[in-house]
Amino acid sequence: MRGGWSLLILLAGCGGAAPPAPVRDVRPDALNVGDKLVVEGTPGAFAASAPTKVVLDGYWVRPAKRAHTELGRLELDGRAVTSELVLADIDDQAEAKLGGHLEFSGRVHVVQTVAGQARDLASSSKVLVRLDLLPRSLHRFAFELVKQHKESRLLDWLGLSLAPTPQGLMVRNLRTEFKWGAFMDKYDRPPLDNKITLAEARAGGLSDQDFRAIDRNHDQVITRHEAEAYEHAAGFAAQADLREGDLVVSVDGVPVRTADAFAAAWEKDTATVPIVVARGGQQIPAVLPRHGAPADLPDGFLLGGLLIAVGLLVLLPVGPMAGFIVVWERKVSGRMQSRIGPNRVGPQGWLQWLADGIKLIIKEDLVPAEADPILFKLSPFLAFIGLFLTFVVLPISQYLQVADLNIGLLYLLSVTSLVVVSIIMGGWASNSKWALLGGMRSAAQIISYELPASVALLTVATMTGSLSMQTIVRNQGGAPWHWNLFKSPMAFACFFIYFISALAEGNRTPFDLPEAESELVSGYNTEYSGFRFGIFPMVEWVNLFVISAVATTLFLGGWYLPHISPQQVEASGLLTQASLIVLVIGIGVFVATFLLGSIVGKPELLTMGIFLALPVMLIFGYALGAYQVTSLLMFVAKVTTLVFVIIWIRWTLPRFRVDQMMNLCWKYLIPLSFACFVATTAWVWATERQPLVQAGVAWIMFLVFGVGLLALFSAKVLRNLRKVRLLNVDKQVDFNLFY
Amino acid sequence: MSELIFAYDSGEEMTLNMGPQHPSTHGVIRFIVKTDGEIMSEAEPDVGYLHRSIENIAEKCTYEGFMPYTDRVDYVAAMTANHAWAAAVEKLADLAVPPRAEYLRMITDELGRISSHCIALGAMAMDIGAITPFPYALREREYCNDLFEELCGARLTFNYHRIGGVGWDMTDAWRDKALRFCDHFEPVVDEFDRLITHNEIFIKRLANLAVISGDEAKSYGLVGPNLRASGIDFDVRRDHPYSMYTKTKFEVPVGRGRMGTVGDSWDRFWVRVEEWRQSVRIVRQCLEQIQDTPKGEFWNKPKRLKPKGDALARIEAARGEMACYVVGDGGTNAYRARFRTGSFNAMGIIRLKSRGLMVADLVALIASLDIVAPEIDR
Repeated sequence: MRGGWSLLILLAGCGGAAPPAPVRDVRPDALNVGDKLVVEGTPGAFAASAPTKVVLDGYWVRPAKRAHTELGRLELDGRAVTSELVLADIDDQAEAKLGGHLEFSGRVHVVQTVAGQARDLASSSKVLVRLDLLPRSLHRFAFELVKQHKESRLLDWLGLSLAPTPQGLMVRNLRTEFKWGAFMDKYDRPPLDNKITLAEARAGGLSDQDFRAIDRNHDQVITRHEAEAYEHAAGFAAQADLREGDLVVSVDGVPVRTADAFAAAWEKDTATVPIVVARGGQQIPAVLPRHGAPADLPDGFLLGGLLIAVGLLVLLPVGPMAGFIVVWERKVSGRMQSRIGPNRVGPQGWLQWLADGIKLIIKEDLVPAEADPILFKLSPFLAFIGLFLTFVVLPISQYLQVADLNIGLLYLLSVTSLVVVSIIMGGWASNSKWALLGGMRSAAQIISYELPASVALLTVATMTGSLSMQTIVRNQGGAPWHWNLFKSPMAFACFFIYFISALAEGNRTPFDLPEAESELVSGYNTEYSGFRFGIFPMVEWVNLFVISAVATTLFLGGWYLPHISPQQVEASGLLTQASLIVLVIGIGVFVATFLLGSIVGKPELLTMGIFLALPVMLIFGYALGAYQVTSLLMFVAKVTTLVFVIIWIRWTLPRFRVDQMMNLCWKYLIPLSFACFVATTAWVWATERQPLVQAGVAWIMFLVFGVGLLALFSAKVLRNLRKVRLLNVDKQVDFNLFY
Repeated sequence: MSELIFAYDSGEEMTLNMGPQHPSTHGVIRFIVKTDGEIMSEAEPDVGYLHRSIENIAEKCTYEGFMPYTDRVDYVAAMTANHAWAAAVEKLADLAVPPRAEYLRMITDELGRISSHCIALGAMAMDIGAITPFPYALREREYCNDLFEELCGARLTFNYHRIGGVGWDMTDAWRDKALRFCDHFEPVVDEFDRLITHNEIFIKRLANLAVISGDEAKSYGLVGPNLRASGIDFDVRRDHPYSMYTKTKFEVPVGRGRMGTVGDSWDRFWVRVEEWRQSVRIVRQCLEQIQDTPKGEFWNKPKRLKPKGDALARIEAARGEMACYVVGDGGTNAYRARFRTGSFNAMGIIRLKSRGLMVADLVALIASLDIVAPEIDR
């Protein structure tokens, strides 16, 4: 779909000189509620201050359901600011018309009524405009908070508050001067004790809000001195002779209905803002100052702070999560090696990671005398930063994402490169030959494998037409035959190319050459000790989550639930009774297995309970309609499965030699990934208007590669089990020989 | 590897000091490795870190008193070192050993071989990067150790053999346990084969790696599995039989180059896996035949042990032929004793075979030769 449009745009760019269309450009690409759509025209195209409408005419795409592409028109109220600039607000009403996340590509018209005649100015048919109206997200929530804060600061500075009423915006809580004269007129005497009560203050022209602000003891009494010292001058609004109950008609010549729009008029750089208010049926002009209004910088800080808060919400569980994966890996490896695994610290050893971490922290932090101290110390930080930055774009659920960057995939590929720098740096700065060899291997390995991984990911981007992680998820579906994995044979191959390359990039077996303990002692981190050392394994284990999360997002449908559209997920709400019940059930399963384990005397039931809770919560969440929680759990379930596969591979396979590893990458994976990429572009071109073909291929792929391979695999596993100990009684292996 | 550029062509080499403390040198051995990046021009073994003058101690204590020291000659498979010393002294003193003791020696030797190969193969898989086979192999070794412990009270340094017999007789319960171990172990070998021997990556790593031809093996004096992997069909148990090996049937596995060339590292691995099977076969036959021998006759204790002359006993140990040469001058101590062990000779060929290998291959080569540090230095 998108591929075709881009190609058209490209062709348009190469075409001959066409007569310039009156509408040249529309900005920005992605819109939130509260943003302005800016339409640029050729000079003199628009009649300034004529009644204006902006009409979007073209294809409307709901990214969640690719089949729902339709032709349509949407009219927005606009205003011509100059003869070459038209603005249209994307406010709540516009959003109500749009109804959620939409993508538009098509022509933009500006319809103006000049002297009773309608003029329709359109963008060129060759220049297609793309708009993306963003869904509700944490980012947008933060943005709205910032906007509200900015608004309230401005209104506070002006000394008024605005209340939307059916008639219009009403002025309230005007901050006026404490008029001592009026007070004296009323009470005819200074209060003997110098104290003014709330009732008295009202008579002096002090608003309730201001009284509360002065009344720091909350005893409903202020002193005269305090009243006089408080904002001695009246607010600018009061100075401009606004009164309580005035209705704001227009600001800066633009009719306003919301406080948002009112505040937006202060973004320009002139000395004053002319406004018109309606009072008792007549329109009264007033002039409010603009210079000295609260600056924007603190708002940026606030937005940054909010993003950091959201980031922390996503990142704080990372430490425990790494710990969980560590213990889990050790338990799995224990099982695979007929051992027990950690079971001492905490319930069934699940707090082992904490003990390990504390041990590492209290160890001596040793920097070798011959090492380059700065690079040596910097290296763990870079590894840490490089990995944790990837969490910015991981779409853990529809909302739980720090930022849905429109270059999400590129961002992901670029920040992970920091880890390579860190490993090379650590290997070099250690001034140890083993570390150097490890660093060199790592550099060669990670840089090589980044190529097939990137091309495999870009293949998905080609199929989706977007680099944004949320869009990629929304372009898939809940059921396996909607996943990118089964959309074409190339995508299927790309999944494995990515997975193998990611293992290599993450230094996991069979590609754990940079830290091959039997060859290089410990590889690039040989000389590290204490917490500096601890960061490397932690990064490695968190990387398991990142690898799996990216694979899940790109190939396995992400947080998408079967047969539940994102609209339903959006509508179900996060803090509902159903979500709470699901949470309680999850904890219940956990507690039940714990109790049952202690009663029966099999405490290892707890470990089963941890993994039982997830499917139980999924089922209940699905049944009760707590889709937001369930979609989050769905993502976690898919990621957990992939993490298990990685652990499984690690404890099964030997390690490649360095030249074999390079051969695999350069001779097989890279050509294959490029072939897949080229074939996918052709595939997208051929099938983009053939939903039936797409669905048919997906089903065949699902049956052949999904069900078929799974059946083959299960048969093989069963056969092996039978060979070793199941069913074949005469060759049964006895593991309790002597005890 | 021939297409790769050798280190000495570039003129720039890095000297890596591998060991004596390194995870995969299998004990305190040191290799001076000259590399250009990943490719080695040479790895020179430097031995002597574990020298304990065991042969000198043999001259200082009595023939019986030296038995515990032989455990330390090869502490991974101590039974065969016991056996070598006992056999040499018996030959010197012209002592007859009761058949029950011979069978017990064979059973313990073969169980020792199994447990030694457990370490060898497990560690080799771990050096290649597969960690899981190692605990699997160690689990089996533990069963062997349990058997040894019940027989002689020790799990590592047994001191089980005596001059003229063995220290303790086995019970019927022990025989049942040993049989149960055999029943258990055979399918486990098959499982081990599926787990690692025929693993694709494992074969890729080991096939055609460090190929030792038959002539090279002979000229460097390789013995045991290393020699047989190179296609030389020689086994002391069969060709110079001792104890009751003439009465047992077994095959001698010889390297066939199934995955590459005869004498490559994979062949050395595979020969040892096959030896597991043959050892179990021998143990079974011994456990069967030992029932015909009278109980309680397990130690022909010499009244007076002051032999004169010299004697050489050859034993097929886990790491190949172990020869013990002892000279007596009529006193209670040996005048001179000498052990010839497999690992020392295997050490010699590393320098030749390491040329042009990668660092990772050196680890595989060392592991495939099954080198054990105490056997080199003694």
